[in-house]
Amino acid sequence: MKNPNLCTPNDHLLSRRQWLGNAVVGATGFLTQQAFAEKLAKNDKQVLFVWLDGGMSQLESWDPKPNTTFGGPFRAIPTKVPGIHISELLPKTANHMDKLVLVRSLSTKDNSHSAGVDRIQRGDPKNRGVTYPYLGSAVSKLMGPCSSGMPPYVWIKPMSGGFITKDAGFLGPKYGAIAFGDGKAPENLLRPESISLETDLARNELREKLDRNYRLARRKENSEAVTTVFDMAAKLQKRMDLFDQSKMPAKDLQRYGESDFGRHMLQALRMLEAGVRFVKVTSYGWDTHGDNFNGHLSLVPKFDMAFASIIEDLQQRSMLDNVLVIVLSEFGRTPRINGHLGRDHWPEAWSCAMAGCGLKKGMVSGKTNSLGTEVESPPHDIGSMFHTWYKALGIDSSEIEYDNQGQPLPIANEECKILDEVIA
Amino acid sequence: MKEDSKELALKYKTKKITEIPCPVQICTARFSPCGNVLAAACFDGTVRRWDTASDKFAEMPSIGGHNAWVQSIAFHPTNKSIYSADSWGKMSASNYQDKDAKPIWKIEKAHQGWIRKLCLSPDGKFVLSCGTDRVVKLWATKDGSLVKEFKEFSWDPLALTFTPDGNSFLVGDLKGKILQIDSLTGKLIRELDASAMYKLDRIQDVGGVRCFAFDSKAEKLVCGGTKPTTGGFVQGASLVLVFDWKTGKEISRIQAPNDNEGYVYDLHFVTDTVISGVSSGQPGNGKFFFTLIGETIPFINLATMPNCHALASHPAGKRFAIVSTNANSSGNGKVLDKNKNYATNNSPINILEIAG
Repeated sequence: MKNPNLCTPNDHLLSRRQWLGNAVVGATGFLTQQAFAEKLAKNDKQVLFVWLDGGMSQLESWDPKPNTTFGGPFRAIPTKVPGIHISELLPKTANHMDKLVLVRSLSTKDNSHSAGVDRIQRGDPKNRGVTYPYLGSAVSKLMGPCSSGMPPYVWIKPMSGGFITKDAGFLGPKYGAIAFGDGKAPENLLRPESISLETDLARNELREKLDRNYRLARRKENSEAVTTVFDMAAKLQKRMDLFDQSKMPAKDLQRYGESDFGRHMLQALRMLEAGVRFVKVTSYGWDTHGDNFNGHLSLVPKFDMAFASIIEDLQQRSMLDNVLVIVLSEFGRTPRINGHLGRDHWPEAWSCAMAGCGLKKGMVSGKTNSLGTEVESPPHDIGSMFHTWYKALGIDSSEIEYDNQGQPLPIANEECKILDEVIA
Repeated sequence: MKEDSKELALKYKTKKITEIPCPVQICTARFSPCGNVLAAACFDGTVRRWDTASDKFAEMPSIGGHNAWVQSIAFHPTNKSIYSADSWGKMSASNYQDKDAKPIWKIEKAHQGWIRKLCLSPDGKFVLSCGTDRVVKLWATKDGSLVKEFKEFSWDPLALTFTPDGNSFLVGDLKGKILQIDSLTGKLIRELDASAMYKLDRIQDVGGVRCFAFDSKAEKLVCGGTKPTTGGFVQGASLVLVFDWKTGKEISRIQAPNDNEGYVYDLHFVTDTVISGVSSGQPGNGKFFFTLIGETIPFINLATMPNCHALASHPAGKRFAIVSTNANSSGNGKVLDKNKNYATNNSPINILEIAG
């Protein structure tokens, strides 16, 4: 069903063609997309997306400026890659620098959480009157589930879980995230003992029939989402082992750290091993407007333990070539240190860390000035990172586009360019 | 407010003598025992000095040689030495009266990482240090030689002081424990409970004991910190706990009414019954207060100096140096000054005197 309120291909054909630099692509796009879809269906690349909510300080992590005006109290330490230094709060990660790419040239647009989280996780597309999906939903739509058939987009987070449809934007609720609150299985996932298998099957059959009838006269998105959730539940019922924290080896728990975040990252590894396409792990509480240095002294080592461990484990399992690892926040933190010894929001010049999936290894892309107040190299907005991540995943963002009820939409901001130098 | 509190407020009313500008932020400040020098430990790896023998407050050459933040300073009680420690683990001793502040000794790696506090033994023979390496070290003041190490602290020691008899010392840690340790044997003598000053918020350890002070009779110990409610922003109500030193029992506490007020960073006994202190919380919040031991509300609570990080008490007893922060110190994004520069914040030092 087409939506008449949305713009048509003609409304932005020119800009898209300018971007593509090829007038023929518009006419052949449909066929090309089909070919891509078939190719992507065989692609079992995965994503681990670590979201440090509130904004990790780049100066206390990936881009330290020791002994400078805004550098703070900490030192920089050498890493396994000669010439690359990171904060002393990341000693374990420093030993895995040979597998990582740091981008120190992020320069984004929003310094508020409310807009920044959405803007970054949706890739800050041009405004076309639609809500773009978060990266997890986008990958879920573009690549679908892995061959495991496991839910394509899961989110391990503190506190409560549920099926989070907000992430999906215009793709429709079917592409939302299934969130495991504190890593626990969704409530009431298992069939109660009082209901027999036969009764359960009969109920599901009835539900499917009702769904089909419902769908005939209405927009399909909601009923599809309901069906999807039931399908996901059926898959997860067979993998309850993924939620059994008692089966997490004590040695691994020790390596990943005994914080909630450590446990969640260990569970993320299990999810990736089980064949989930996109695993997001969120850690809250990084908005260190006050006591930033003691805050990072407490937070970063917990991140360091878990992150270094999962990189090590992905490498040991030969999974790192297939799993794109991204560490990101909504922005960095101000160089200036406020009166509460905190750092405020700073989208001007910050960093992210990545690994795996065809990215180069052991390199830094981009550079900030000596005080960390400006990006000296060409700056990169989040749109560039989306193009880059899609490329790493085998998705050609110059060819593939969304079909939003007849409205073609680029999958990443067409004014941003791929960060070629990080692609191997 | 009780009548006697009103009288006390009049008695301890302060007037501002001057404000000493400092172009960088300051961790802490102290007057020399002779009262003629005010020293400040700064974010730019310097110890800045001012001549306080007169009210001109002329700046003296800075003491350099440190890295990153100079976090802590301490004066020798008699021999004109100042000891300074930085966040990269370096510690040094200098002659604070020298124009050039000649170094007496320095130790590049006194600790593996951030040195949080220094303190001098009452007889001046030893300087004690603690750091994020969770080690406390005892050094000889005359030559900087290491006398003893106290290891295996479970949590970061943040506050440190010798007990008045010099036979033991106190460590206040991130978890809100106060450990009394024998300086000779390293044996734990007892543990005092300041756990009100700690909270695990999500995965962040927040709070900790930040400062100590003893009264002159060694009957009471006060410690400062915050009662944290959240990490991140670090919301917390300023908190002072008062302990009976003999029994180790908490006998009273002074807690700010709201959680914007943050940490109490410095405390000082003005008399054996009156303490003064400073606090810093959300940007713009900060107090210089006087309170009577046993009361729950300060009888003076000045809020005119934002984000106070240190209180130095002049040995003559009437004058204070309060390290505050410039107004409007916070802001998301690239907030520029009137000259379009992205400038650092700074720490004005307010010199106040009891006028009552």
